[in-house]
Amino acid sequence: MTTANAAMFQASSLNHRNARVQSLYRILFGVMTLMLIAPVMMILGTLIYKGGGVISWEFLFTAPTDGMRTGGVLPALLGTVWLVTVALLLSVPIGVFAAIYLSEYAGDNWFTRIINLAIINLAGVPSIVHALFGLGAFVIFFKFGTSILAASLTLAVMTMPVVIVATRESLQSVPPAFREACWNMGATRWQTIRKVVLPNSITGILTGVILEVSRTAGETAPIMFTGAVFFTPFLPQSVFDQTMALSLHLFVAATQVPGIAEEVPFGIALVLIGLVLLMNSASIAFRMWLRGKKKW
Amino acid sequence: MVSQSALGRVAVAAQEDAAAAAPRTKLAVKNLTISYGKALALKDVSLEIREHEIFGIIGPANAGKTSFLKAVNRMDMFTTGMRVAGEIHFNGLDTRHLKNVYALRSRIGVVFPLPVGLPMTVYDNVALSPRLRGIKEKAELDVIVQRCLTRAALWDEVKDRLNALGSLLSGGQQQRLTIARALSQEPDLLMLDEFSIAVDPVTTMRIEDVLKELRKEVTIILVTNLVQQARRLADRTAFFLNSECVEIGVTEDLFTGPVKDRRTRDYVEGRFG
Repeated sequence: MTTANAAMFQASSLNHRNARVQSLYRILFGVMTLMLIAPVMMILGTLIYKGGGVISWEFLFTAPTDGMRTGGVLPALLGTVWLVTVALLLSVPIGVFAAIYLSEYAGDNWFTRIINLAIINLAGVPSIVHALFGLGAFVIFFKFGTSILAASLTLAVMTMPVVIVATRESLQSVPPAFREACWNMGATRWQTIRKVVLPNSITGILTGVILEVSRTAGETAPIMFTGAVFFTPFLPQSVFDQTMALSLHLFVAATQVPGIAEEVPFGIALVLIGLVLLMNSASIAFRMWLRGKKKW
Repeated sequence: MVSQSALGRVAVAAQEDAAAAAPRTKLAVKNLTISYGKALALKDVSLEIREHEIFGIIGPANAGKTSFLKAVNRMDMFTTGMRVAGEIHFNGLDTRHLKNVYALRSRIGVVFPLPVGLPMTVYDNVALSPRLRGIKEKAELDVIVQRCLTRAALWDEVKDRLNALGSLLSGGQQQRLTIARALSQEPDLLMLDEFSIAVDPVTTMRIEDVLKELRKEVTIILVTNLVQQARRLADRTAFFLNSECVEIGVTEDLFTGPVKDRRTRDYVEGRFG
């Protein structure tokens, strides 16, 4: 009896093989995960190593001087904050509301399928094409000129699909049974969305917004023709001003300015990444605050 | 003159007495046919459900029981492809052509096969429907929440954790929370769709006791695939089979009395299904 029981738990060759395969896959997944971290670490490391030296209050809060060879990045830094903020103000409401409509109100018919196809295509359009569209539509046709407004509109159009897709995904991750329970007690669609669907999908929506911030801040092509300029010593005062932007400033400093100190472009890149991380951590903090409030 | 009007009053009183004695019709269904695309879910069903009765609906899967409930609550609006033909009168009012379906649904409480604790606190789960009705006063909500949880036999278990997440309660507790939520609608009609499927026997018995209490105040439609549950609770029972209503009668008759259709007896005795 005891021997029979002992034999029952004796590892067979099949067990051995399964265990070997399992640990192999585990190592594979682990290595792949590490490979994700590697480029991030290398980029950040290089930037800090090469550009960390130029970062100072003066670098952050003064305008470039001597043909951008010396001085700081303030106009570009503020310009990027302007561009990202205005683009978010435009694309987040439109994107989130459109996603709510598509996911909660519209049925599955040929019209919504065309809209979904359009969203996917919009996400696939290269940014330089968006730039030319922005130039034609906002700068010339709507006569906004090269301005923060035109550039932000272009960025908003370009990043809208990210917001829509992220919002729709997180809305659809809320189980249909919750909606049905709500409808069954006489709630309207909006009451259901307000009370049940949105509170449970807001964190996913914010993830979409975070992704959008990063992309908006880093894009160069769409703003080159529509609102960002090579150099201006003036800080933007309204959405109708032209402005410098960190991404374009980095491109210019790295390729167009002869005799610039090598560490300056690295410094600019570091400021850009720092700004994106700062904006992201603000929304991550907001997301965590929301979760904490819900006692999850 | 005086004697005539006195006589008139007596006559009116007598009529009222008669009306009180005869059970009133809560729900009248005439020639109800439900289909999803080409698939027929329910064919030409006519039945009447009386006030304050527990009306059982039994039958195997795909008999059209859930579709019936959906049609009563006008949930066809939210179900793509669901087509409903026929008449449904609720409290004498035709619901098929009702504009304000929200008012209708708020009068009808529904409990689903799988408990749906909404991902909000226990308190908010029960206070949701009153809040939708516009009740904001905290004291008033407190009273409603306590009353509904007590009537659903859940109050003692959750009174110390009303702020816990409703979706984290155990299955049986969540089902009673769902019932409390349905009661918070102050419903005229309570529809339970196989409520005991995910609930342990002890909780099932507790909920059954709750239902026996509730029948004094609300009319109950009990869809169940446990024929013995229908026998324990329902005054009258309908047997649905293959999209048809095979039999409607006093529940006990389905088990021991004369039946119109052999299949009814076969089903309740467990010979098929």
